[in-house]
Amino acid sequence: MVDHTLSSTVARAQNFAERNGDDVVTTGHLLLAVMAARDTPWPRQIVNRGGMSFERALERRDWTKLANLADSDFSRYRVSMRLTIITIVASGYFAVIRRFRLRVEAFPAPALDRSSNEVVELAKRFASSSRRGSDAETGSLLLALATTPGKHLQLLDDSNVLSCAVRRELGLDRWHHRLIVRLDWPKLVTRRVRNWLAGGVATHGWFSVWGVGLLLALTAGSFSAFLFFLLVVPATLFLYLFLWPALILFTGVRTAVSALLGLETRVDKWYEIPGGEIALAGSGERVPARRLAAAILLPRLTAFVCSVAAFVFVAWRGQRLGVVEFPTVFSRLDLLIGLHPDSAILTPFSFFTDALSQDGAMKGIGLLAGLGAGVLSLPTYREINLIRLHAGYASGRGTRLGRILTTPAAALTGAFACVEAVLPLRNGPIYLTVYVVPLALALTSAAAIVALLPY
Amino acid sequence: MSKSSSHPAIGTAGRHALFRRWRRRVYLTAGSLAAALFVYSLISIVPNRAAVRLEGEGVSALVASRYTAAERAFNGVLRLEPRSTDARFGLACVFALTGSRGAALIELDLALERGLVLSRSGTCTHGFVFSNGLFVAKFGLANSFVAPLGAPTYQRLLESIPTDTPTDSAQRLLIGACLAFRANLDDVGWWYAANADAQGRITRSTTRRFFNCLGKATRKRLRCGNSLAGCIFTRSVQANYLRDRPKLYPTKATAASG
Repeated sequence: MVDHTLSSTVARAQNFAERNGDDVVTTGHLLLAVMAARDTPWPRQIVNRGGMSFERALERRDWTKLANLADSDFSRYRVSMRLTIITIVASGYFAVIRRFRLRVEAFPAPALDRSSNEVVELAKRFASSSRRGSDAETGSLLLALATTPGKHLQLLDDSNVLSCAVRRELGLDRWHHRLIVRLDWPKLVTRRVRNWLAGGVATHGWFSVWGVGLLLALTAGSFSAFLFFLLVVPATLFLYLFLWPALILFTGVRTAVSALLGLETRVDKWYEIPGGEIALAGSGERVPARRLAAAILLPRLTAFVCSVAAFVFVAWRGQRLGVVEFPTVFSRLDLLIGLHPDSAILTPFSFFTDALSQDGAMKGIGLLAGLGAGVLSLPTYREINLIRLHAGYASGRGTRLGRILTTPAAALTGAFACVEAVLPLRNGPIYLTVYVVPLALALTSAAAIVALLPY
Repeated sequence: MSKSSSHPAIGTAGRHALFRRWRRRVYLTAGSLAAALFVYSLISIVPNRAAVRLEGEGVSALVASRYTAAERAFNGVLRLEPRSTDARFGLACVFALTGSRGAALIELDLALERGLVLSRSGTCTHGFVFSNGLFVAKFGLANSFVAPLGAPTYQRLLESIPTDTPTDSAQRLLIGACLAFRANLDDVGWWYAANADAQGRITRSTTRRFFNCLGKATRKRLRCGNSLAGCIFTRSVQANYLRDRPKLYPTKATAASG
């Protein structure tokens, strides 16, 4: 029986770090140690919630020195008696040598780094309040890892869902955790089917019914991914053409703010969400929550201010002299509200060409940069969650003010993400999505300012 | 690409750092350029103070019926800001009120092409309201349609995309008939009405809408009762049409010609 106390899991992580030649145990080692606890439900829980298996994680991290550990716990693979004897003898030999070394040379085990120490402390707190039995400590460690920011989260698909699922297993869940887990059921079913088929393939081989089934499942997955790529990427490239100047401006602002705050960031999902969303890059060290919040929210706020400024000047000229910025679009309601069958293609181009023809290329691009920035002024759901994760809200830490501010923001951005996902399926024009909210706010603010202008 | 294929002196971390540094420089340069263009565009679209003053003077002159002064002021605005739809609309009002309807329509058309929305543009004062008497639907900036006051169904039809059903086609043809009869082009009106009738989908409500569209004066002129047969499909109107048809449609056969 393998020991699954917290100390044994930490010792396993230390072993991994030692074998890999690392000086300290990071949260990545700890997560691998949980993934390697194969006779507990937690590795399966990780895989079911979209995270990686131990083997995939080793491949992802390129930890080739640990590759020989990858298949060691699979009981379904039978080996010959000769190899069994060789393995027992060899492992006994290495065990003796290791014991000898430890005693004689006092070979130091890698120490836990700061983040890992925090995670272990957090796991102890979770374990003490858990209602689960023997393997609670490993589960608590997984929960602590899923609710702690760091590079190890790259091995998990959605740490938010995983942490809710683990909370449920440990008996630490509340209604909102259960809701999140429940909403994840379609993905869970898909992953379970795929894992079930993969298990069958591992037992019966690819040249079986299981192999055909898995091949079909993988083909369907690849096909839907391809369709998604075909729909989303050209849409971002061409349908959001008028947003490109704003995107360039926003990226510059984002990079400048991150550099000023001393953070290394990158932009993810730019092909999917206008403006993409910020993600932390660099060493994976923990960053102060306030700086991270500033790095995420300051560019968004700047974008909103730019949008208001652009609307003020456009409305000022429009109201005093009747100069219309987008004459084609606003004289063709069928394009603006999506009645025209080709409005999805024609309207973005009309916005772009109107701006360029009305004010010339340079001024038109400049104005589009300002006006379109309003669309980019909403933080995404993941960005708000990143702030919450770094402030430690999921584990009951962080300031009350931050919690008060970010909880409704997370709910709001989550709702926006849902609306955003549903509207295109209902043939809604892309301009009537949630992006119209900050634009409307900017326009209202601009109208109030224009009334105060001198002439 | 395998990691060993790169220069051995630069490690993976070093390459990543170098890439990140260059990426940051590119982002900052492009962003600065966009910011500069943004500021430049804001400065350049500040409304011309003199043009705003002239615009105000033009409106005051229009209200005071000093049409020559108003025309001069609006032309002054257009010299300073050629894209001003307010000035174009003002000129259209001046021309309409002084009886130059052709010039008024030209100015109005130019204003519409530059994005004027009639329903928002206010009135010409003196009880003359363009948007009440004139509905302009612009599809592709090419065609202007004039629909009479109090015909919301027709306005909707002009705005919407044809569904190519017999009922829809009949209604659209009757718009043409109504407009033509109101413009005293009875032969053209008969042609439209006959084509609508050929669709076989003219209901009582369609007929009622058509008569509403015609208006009292046109109905009286055509001696219309309660049915289309009583006033539109008469031998005299048909004879007019047949007489003028070779001039109007020299080659095209119509449904009405049978």
